Amino acid sequence: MDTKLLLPNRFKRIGWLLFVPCLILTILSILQVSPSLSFFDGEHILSRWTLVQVPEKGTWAALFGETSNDLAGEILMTLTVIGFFFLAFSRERTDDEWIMKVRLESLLWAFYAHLGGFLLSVWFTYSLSFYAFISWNMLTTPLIFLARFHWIVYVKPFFEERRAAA
Amino acid sequence: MKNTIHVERAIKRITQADLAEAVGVSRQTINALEASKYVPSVVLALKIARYFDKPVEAIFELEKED
Repeated sequence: MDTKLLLPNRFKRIGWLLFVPCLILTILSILQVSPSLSFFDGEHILSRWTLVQVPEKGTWAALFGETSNDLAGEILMTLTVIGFFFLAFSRERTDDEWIMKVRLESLLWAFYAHLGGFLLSVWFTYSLSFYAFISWNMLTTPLIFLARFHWIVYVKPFFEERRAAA
Repeated sequence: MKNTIHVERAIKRITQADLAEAVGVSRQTINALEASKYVPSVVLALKIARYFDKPVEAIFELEKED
């Protein structure tokens, strides 16, 4: 079946290679596990490469020299998103109508979970914890989608066949 | 909707993977069809019927709740 709007299958492997390590690094730096891995704030192991000099508009520093800006956080988030995009929206080896149906259903599930998380954050958090909750909630859509899709397409049939064979 | 794909497959002595390859879908799709978890598109139903050399109605049958 011709499934449009999807990337070729080879992007899936690139997606795994990008998404998994970048996601782990993102989580580690948000949790501030170690200063050398805190890519969103302060000095870290990649500072030497990701620090760029940008004149900041409207500040005295711009007039008397240059201020520096660390792009590590931006780069990490971009790679995570691109990795997710490749992983979630590339064709399976044999993509067909049932897999497309599971894909769309999983997107629906993921969106429901995201909305649920948003409602929880509205009612049970405020101020800074509200923003923290909302940022963590950004992860529910990709993670629920990937988990549900791969569970239905690969993991569940595998277990069912093993049970049938036993 | 119920179907007799499992029976037809047994008569022809082919695996789910063989049928999947012949009609151009994934093996999991045949699995979902046999478990009545999925109702195929008309195109896929026609392809499966053609593969078994039978009319569609001989393989796919409506149920009361359909």
